[in-house]
Amino acid sequence: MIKMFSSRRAAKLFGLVCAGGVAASVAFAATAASDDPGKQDAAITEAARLAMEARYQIGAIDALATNPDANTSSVVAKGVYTRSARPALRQLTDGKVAAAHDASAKRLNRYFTGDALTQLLAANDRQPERYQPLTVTDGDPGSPAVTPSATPAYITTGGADAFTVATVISDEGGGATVTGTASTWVNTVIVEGGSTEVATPKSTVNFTIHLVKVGNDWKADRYEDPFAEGDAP
Amino acid sequence: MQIGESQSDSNHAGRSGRPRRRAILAAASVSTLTVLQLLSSAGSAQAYDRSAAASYADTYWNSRPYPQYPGFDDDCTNFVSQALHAGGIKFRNAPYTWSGSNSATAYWAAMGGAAEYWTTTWSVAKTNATFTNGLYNSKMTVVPANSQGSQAPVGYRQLGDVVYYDWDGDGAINHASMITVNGGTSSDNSGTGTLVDQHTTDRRHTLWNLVKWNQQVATTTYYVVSVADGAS
Repeated sequence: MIKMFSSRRAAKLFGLVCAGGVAASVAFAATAASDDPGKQDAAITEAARLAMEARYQIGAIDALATNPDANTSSVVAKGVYTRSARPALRQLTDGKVAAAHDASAKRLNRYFTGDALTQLLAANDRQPERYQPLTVTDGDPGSPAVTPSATPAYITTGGADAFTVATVISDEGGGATVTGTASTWVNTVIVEGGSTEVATPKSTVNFTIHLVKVGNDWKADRYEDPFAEGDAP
Repeated sequence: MQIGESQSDSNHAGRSGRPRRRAILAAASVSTLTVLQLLSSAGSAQAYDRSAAASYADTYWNSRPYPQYPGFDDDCTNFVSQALHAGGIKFRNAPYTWSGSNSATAYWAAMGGAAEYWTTTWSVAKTNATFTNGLYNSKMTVVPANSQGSQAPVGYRQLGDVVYYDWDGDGAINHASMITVNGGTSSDNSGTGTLVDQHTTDRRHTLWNLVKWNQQVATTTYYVVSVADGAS
């Protein structure tokens, strides 16, 4: 995981502190990351957190703000809604899907760069196609009610809670790797039959996010967050 | 989710079995098993017993430890392999070359109790998918994230067929489940359609697409293997 250090002395120091456990390595990382380590580490970890939030807002219909934190207010209450009670949940419009796609692309561009950005933008570009059946008038051919293969669900918003950083390790290239755990979630509207169900699936992930400085901002160019062991959906 | 670099096999082992190092050890040691049987890739007259496979999955959907097999924290593929074996898919206790475009040589076996042996094809979703797809006359279809419905694809939703999940759509399979109901209402209010049993997070008769439970649904790609009637 850690391939480069800011100096030979730092690498040697890291080797020594590893034996002392994670806490020691964090302290070292803070020293290596910046002349003002506390401030810089805070900026790096905050950028990592917002990148993860942006990743879980891909395809999120109600997540239109550039700042992912601002989108959590659009969570729809968990439950089962009848067709008459929440008709707006059963059908999307082309305009709404396009707005969600464009907002997500802006967020991803703000918090990601490089290969990670390319791959996430590709995933984002697939969402309008994924949601197309839900823009068909409810009950018409192609809508979920009459076409079993139609996508039965869409996401309103999502994010990451309990974003707990284990290590922040700077590298010789000026980047930094943040590792830790988080609880990731999305708010999902499941359109099926005569009712509409809202759920909020959540799991714990172990994340490793590499960030680089682009202008004045930290952005993620490598991103991975596999489900924590034994915590797949 | 892994973006920006390829996902390693060891990562998959961590998610679907115990660490890779031990699984490889098991592959190397499996020749010490008492039952040594070189099986050909040809189909058997004895049909794959779908009901038996599904019944095994229903019996052990939330039951551990197993009487005959090792258990894992990430147990999904181990669970599916056991059900396949209950349905008549035999151990490959010696190097086994399967047929078709997925030709490769591997073992597929596991034993529990005091002698814990298992192969990566048994416990790791990615390699298990290659194994099942290579079984006699079996076939795989891909369901992109933008087209999963409540029913698994036509021709790929019989009892005992296997669903594989790639959470982030990077082409690397991460999870496995077994189809146990071909059309029905889920027992966990996840919907009506094709239902599966799975481990890791234990679920019985849940909707195959896991939409209600999977926060990575926007990027999840599905691979479904139809295990042929003549596979054994």
